[in-house]
Amino acid sequence: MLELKNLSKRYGEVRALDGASLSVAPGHMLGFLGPNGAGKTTAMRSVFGLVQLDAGEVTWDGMPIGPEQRLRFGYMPEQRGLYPRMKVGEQLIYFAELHGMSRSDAAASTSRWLATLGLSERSDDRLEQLSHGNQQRVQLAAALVHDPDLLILDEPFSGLDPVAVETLADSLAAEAAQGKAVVFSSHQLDLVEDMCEDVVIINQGRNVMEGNVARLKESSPHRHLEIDVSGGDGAWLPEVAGVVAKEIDGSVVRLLVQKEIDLEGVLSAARAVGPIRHFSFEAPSLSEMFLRAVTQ
Amino acid sequence: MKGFRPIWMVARRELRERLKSRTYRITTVILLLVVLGGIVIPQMVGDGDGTTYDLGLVGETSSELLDTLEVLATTSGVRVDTQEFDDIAGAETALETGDVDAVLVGGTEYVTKEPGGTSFFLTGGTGLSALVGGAVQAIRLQEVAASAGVSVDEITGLLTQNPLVARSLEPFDPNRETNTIVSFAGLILLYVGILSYGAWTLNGVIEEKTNRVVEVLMSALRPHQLMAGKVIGIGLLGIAQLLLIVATAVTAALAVDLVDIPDVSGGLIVSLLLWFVLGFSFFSVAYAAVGALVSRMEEAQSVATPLTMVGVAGYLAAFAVLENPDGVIAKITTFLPPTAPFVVPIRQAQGAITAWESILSVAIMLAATYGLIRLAGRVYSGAILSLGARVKLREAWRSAEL
Repeated sequence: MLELKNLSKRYGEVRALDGASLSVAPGHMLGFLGPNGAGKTTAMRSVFGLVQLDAGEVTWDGMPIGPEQRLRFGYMPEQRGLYPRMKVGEQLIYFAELHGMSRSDAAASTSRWLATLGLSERSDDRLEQLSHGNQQRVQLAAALVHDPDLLILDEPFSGLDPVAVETLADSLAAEAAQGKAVVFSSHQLDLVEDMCEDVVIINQGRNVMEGNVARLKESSPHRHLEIDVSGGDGAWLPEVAGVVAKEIDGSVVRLLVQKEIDLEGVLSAARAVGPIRHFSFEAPSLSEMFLRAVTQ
Repeated sequence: MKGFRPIWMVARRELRERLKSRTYRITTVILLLVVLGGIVIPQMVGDGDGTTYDLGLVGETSSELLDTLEVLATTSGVRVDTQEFDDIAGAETALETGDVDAVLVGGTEYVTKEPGGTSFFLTGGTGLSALVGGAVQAIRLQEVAASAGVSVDEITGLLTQNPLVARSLEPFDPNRETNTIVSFAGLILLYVGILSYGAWTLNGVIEEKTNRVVEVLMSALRPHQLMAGKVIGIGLLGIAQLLLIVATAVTAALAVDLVDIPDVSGGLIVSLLLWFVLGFSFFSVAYAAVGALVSRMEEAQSVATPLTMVGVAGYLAAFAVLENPDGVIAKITTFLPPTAPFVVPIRQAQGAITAWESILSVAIMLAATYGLIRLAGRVYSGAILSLGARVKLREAWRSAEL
């Protein structure tokens, strides 16, 4: 279990971290969200001792993290980088060995990961000969090759095409299913909503929202209500309490409403006009909640 | 040995990747060619052994004079070829065109192209004029001695006997001269090796920073491990390249009979190697630390210059020490880590250093290098992740994690 508690870090006048916290248990995948400059990278780096925190605690299974523990972690930094002129296979073996694997285990794990990521036949190519997307896959493999217990991935999806995104998402899900703790940051919130049970959203170095995605959505005070009534033009909509915003598009009425709105009243008014072609009452998406959380 | 494994992994990667790199192979081949060329080509161009002079002869030249000239030339390690001319005009034409270096007329007149003619006083040495002048003097001396009733043997005996008994306060060391030559050559190799392999370390560090691979490395390695591994890997490669070049040079020199295997004390070789390792480690670690301060290759020069100046100062100090191996400069520079690698081998070769000085200087060097690794490690970890502008030393120091 990884726990970051009340991290604080100042760079001159800038407060990069101001009490941010997160935790992730084995077998779980945590989406770590926040606008640019919110402090995500600084928090992730702190796990590897790459920043000197002003205050706060970083623990793994309740113990402070030292070089020994870090060998069991995998890291994909925001600043991508490997040796451009080194062969892909040798490079991965090197990183596996640096993390304490024996040479034969390192070689076996390297070919397994290259196969998983569809790069087996590129093993003897130099990294610089690969496309950007493939280099990104190698970077992921470098974080995974030593079979770590914890994965920290800083924007692993940025710059990938949809096919690569799916491959990567599947690999991460498989890793979590095998009992690894996974933390990744991303700006692709729909993807995070699909992949993660839990999220932490930070802004200006502080947690602004955190918890189980489904429960967070459930606890949102707002809902999207969309009704399409055949022959209607929106004029049928009764005066009900709790409508925050309204948009009428032909026969379709879209409302942002309070959770406790009188749904029955709206529905019966709609039925009186004509047959209902579409009716939906949904919690806001993660991306809306994110926007609301960071602009408050 | 748990802490050493990662260091060795880093060193091994440096070795492998650099051995494979075209740059390393090409520089090695070029260096070998330069060394080989420098030794073999002069031998092929020259007429075998040393210098050869061409002397034009006009008129009568006694055979005694020619014999004496040949003896003098042989003992001086040069050759004098003679060429006879019918008249002075022919000989002077040959002199003009450079077919001969000088003309001896009738055994009494010496013609050259030198303005104002040749002075035979204070010349000495192995030049042609000195040889011819010496031969003529020797013949005259014999003639005078003979007319005074002194035999040639007596004259020769007088000239060759030891006029004085020699005694020195310094103990006799038969290797001292060759030791000085070898340590001088070693000094140049040390200097070139330390500074150029130090530059490899510098470039390697900056490369990892520009490639941004360093953040992944830092997540698995401690800064001093990465740095030590890099320095060891490049150091081994440097030693291998130096040994290859030295071995080639010695083999080539032996093959063309330029030298005999120098009679060097084994201790000196060990000392040169030891001080190469010590000096290289010290300077490389410093280069690694300053390399971490910059993000782009173009800035490398500006941060490396102060260090290079220190290296040059050490090299120059060694020359001062060569002149005066017991002086105050020698004593001080022996115990300063940046100068010791250049100075101590020189003093050792001259037999001018005491055992405790040697031991103390090695101890200081080891302690200083260890301290520098720790210091540089802190600067390295504070600066290595910043990818923007050049980091100030003080900022790097402060932002490092301990």
